[in-house]
Amino acid sequence: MEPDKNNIDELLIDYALGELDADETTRVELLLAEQPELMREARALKRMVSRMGVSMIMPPPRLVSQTRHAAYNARSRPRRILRAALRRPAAVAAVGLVAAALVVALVGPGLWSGSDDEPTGIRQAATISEELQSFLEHNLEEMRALSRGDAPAEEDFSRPAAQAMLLLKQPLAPPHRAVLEDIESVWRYGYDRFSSEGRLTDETVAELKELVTRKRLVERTEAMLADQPDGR
Amino acid sequence: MHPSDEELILGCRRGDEASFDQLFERYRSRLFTFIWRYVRNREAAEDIFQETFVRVFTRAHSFRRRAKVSTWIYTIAANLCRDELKRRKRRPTVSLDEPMAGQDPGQAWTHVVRLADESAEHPRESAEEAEHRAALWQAVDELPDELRVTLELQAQHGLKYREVAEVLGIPLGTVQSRIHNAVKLLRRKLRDGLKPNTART
Repeated sequence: MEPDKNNIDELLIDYALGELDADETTRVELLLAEQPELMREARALKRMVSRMGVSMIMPPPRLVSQTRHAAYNARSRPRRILRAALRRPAAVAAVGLVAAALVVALVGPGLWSGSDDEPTGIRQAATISEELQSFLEHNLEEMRALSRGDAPAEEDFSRPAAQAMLLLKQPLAPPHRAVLEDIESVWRYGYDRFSSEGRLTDETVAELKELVTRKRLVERTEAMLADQPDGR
Repeated sequence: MHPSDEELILGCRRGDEASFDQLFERYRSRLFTFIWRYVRNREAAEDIFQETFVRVFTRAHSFRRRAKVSTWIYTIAANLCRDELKRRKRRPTVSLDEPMAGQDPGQAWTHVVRLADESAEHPRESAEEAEHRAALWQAVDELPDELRVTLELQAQHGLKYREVAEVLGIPLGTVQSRIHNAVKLLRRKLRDGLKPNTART
């Protein structure tokens, strides 16, 4: 069926705007080669598009510098608030007490338990299910071999600073951290693949997510503490 | 080395100001053009421009690699622009600095940037070409706003139809029909011999 006039007009617009795939482009160019009138129209459209494409407005220099400073300040605001709070001894004591109580209540006795004498055991880093333990033991090597290109995390685990404070009293010991690095790597680099192959069940995914969340909260807390001028 | 947008966003996630600066340099004129043309009010455009980049830096962690960085940044700006227009509808104000019809977007403020190849030497634009361009922008300015913004995202900012749909939060088919209608209207206006010196006041 021959395309009608309206369809041809729209095809030419898509052509001029570079929205056709290679096959469609070839078809249009064959049509244009046969019809000089259409060729002129296509050229006019392309000229019009190129005239629009080159003009941009520079923001005024005052706005450029204001915007930079506003962005820097906004980025550092949460840390400044935390630093200011931690400079007050009463606030630190109160936060510490609340944090300790909440950690005991929420994190539970099993989490992060284990012995530093056995640094390689996955179970020593955290209390995890048999299923996840088995998955990690069988897939760690494969996971480690995956590309270390920065694959996107599937979810954003960031939490407000107040929640990160809950883990102040529970820093991870080095051997546990190493094992949790592996767990996080499964999440970051292998989650999609393992999940799509059916090697990770929904429950195991949820468990991995929980572990990664806790690890990131610990890291955020440690980073915030490291920012304190007096090392608190 | 020239870092990719994705690498710069990762830098922003870490709070790296140098990464933010590079991203800012890369997008500032495009974003400013888009925002100003969208809201057509200098004060609002400056506020939205600033807020867009604050959000880019402070919310870099929410960027998902399924989208392109450019689309994500334009989407932030477009959402802020839409909010501004809604606010304005509720409380109408008179703008003293709406761009004049027929004015090349670059002439309203200091100067035009040629993004295609900023390092190349461009031949001086002929008077005839300048006239054509002024006539074109006059015709663009007279398009209905939603057609104009949609067309500008594609033709001026180089986004694909699919990306325009994402930025404006509308179906792909709507983008296509808006752009087709916009271009047909423009061609008709330009064929009818719109002269740049008949700009509305």
